[in-house]
Amino acid sequence: VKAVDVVGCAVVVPPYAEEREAASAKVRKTMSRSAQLAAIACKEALAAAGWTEGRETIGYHLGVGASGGPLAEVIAMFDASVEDGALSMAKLGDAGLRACNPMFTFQVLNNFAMCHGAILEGLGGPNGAWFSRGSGTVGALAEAVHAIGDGDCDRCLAGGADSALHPVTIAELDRTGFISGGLVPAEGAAVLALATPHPTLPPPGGGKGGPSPTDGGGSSFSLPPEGGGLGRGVRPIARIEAVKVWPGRALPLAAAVEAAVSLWPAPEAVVVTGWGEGVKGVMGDGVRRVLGSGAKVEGDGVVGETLAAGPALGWAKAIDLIRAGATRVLCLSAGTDGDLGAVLIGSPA
Amino acid sequence: MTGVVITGAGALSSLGIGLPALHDGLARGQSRVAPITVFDASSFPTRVAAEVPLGTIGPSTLAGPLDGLIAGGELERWHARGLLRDRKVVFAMLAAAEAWRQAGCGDAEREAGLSLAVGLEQCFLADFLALRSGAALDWSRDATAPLPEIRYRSTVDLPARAVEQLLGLRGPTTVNASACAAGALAVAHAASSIARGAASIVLAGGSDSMINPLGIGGMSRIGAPSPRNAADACRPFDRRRDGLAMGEGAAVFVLEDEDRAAARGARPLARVVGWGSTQDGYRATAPRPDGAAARRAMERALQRAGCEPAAVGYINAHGTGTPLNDPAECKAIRGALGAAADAVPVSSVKGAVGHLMAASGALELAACLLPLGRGVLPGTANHRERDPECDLDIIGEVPRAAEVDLVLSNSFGFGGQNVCVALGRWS
Repeated sequence: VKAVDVVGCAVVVPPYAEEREAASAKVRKTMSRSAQLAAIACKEALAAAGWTEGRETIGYHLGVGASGGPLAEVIAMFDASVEDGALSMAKLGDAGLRACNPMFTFQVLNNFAMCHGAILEGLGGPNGAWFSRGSGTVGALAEAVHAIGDGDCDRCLAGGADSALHPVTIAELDRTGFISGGLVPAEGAAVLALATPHPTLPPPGGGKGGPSPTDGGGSSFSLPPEGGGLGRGVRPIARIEAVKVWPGRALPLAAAVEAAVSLWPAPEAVVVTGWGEGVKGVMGDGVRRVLGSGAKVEGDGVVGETLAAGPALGWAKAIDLIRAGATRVLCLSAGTDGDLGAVLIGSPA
Repeated sequence: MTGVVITGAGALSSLGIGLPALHDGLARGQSRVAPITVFDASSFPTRVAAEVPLGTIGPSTLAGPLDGLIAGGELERWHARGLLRDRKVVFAMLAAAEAWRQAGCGDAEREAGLSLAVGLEQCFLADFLALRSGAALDWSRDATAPLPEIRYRSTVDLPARAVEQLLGLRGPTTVNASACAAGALAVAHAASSIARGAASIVLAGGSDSMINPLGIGGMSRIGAPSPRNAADACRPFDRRRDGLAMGEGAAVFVLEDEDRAAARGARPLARVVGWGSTQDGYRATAPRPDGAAARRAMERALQRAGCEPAAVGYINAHGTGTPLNDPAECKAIRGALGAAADAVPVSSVKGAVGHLMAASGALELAACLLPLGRGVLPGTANHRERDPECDLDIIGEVPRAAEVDLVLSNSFGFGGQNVCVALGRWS
């Protein structure tokens, strides 16, 4: 891909302070947990980038998970629709539907994890909601990078948001062995603000200082904006140098990890995100086979598995490492589909 | 940039199974919105829809159409696991198989990627009975519940995984979940990947069905469908329009690098020449009334195609038949095309086949192959009374003969996502 600058980053991992909410309590009733988390990350990434103007041209691509409507609504509908121990279509179409919040539909539509943030912040550029088991979020980042590279926009948000704390999701994770394998369901969101590479600013000297994106369970940060808050006027904090996905059907995960680590100049650290310790172990072993046993392998710094949000939280962790002096960090993300997503993040210098 | 061509297409809609059924039906000006049969909707506020005429779906539904693509007994195993419970899984497989065969794909094409638009997971409400314990649900019963593997809800990417397995695809799979804009976005994503050289062949399209109790019920609760429950429920651009008709179906295309297609002797059906997407950033429940963001999506598609507005020969509108969408879309078209807008015929197929939700953009691109291939512009079923707010050359119920070289297809999603895809004649 054509490299793009990261000029802002925001991370949201509960618990978080009420004042960080992006939407009013009334609007939040139309939002899933993923949408609420994404909206906060969207708002804070824009603020971190200083993008207060021209938002109708800013793009937004987000990796999203399964629909996360509150099960209480389904149960209310269900309870009003049972007759003689069986589900009655006659009751469901009448009392059942009336028992449900009409806004429930907006809570369950997967794309609203992205759309709520776009609506709240007035974004109008190219966009997409991409379902993710891990690498789908990497695909969302690739779309954002290409949108900038192809000239569809010069500023774009990219990230992931998801909640595994849904009864059906937890049941699925349990039944498929992820819970017993050590997976801790969690939730979160992370969004990067991406812009065309800055043509004139001097490198920021490693970008040290300021709060870290993964400190204290989530915060946002950026260096001060320059030049009126537009993309080209903001000092970059990192650079997306490469994005690539290896399909699991073409290459086993371990081999894909080795291919990814070998493809680019050796990174100083590798951040791995994946569904459960088993997958992360395979990825860590693959990294060490290529880079040696002393290779620095890190997680995303979040306790638990945030599914579609995981890769984006990993990018935030990589930016953290770059702010601490690293010049190149490789982020690897795998999900249950076996695909591997790789993002190479470098210092803007 | 590499040229992108469509070398195969498959489609299912209420007009029938297969792309020829869609094209024949549209060319004859047919429409099919009728009382719901796939479940008892008699107590529901919405009781009509545009169902794919497949009846109750099971392994036998698929055995013939998928013969030679899937091993004997595999469909029964999928059925037992619950993989066929969600109709859009079946639709995706059938459309992909048709496109695959029409394009003459074989082993060499299994390198293809897949870019598929899918709708909301289907909720299987009755499954919760197995967990019921008094007024609560006892999730500890899940592990031993007498339910298939796919339970409570289908998984979002199930249609894509089914197509991957069916055709043995080895390329990257991307699943677009952008509601009613998803189908067109999935095709745009595939075209973009090929144009920049990241892929040489991608299957792309969309599949969806919300004709199930919670799909129909949920849309009814937000007042999107027409309240009239009539065969002409959806009346796009008509002065009397009062809502959409729910539809279901799928369309899948084989998109290829033009040189790759030529090298293997494939005969392209059309070129994918432009695309653009924008966000309304306005409201969750309504489109921007000025159509400004949708206009920019169209302008970007034309810009990418390198075409002037006067080159556009036909626009397949999103045209939902809702009070708010249609006039906003007309403003968008007029804004994007300027003075050329008056000379461009516009129609919506949603009166005929309903709103296919996540698959609508893909199905409507399949409809756009009709003017490029047969010189017939689809009509707008149930459009009888002109609306001054929709002051374009809206094609009425009778299809129109015309030779066109460039068509645009608009898709706008709940949540404000807009996409426009431009197709060009291949010659």
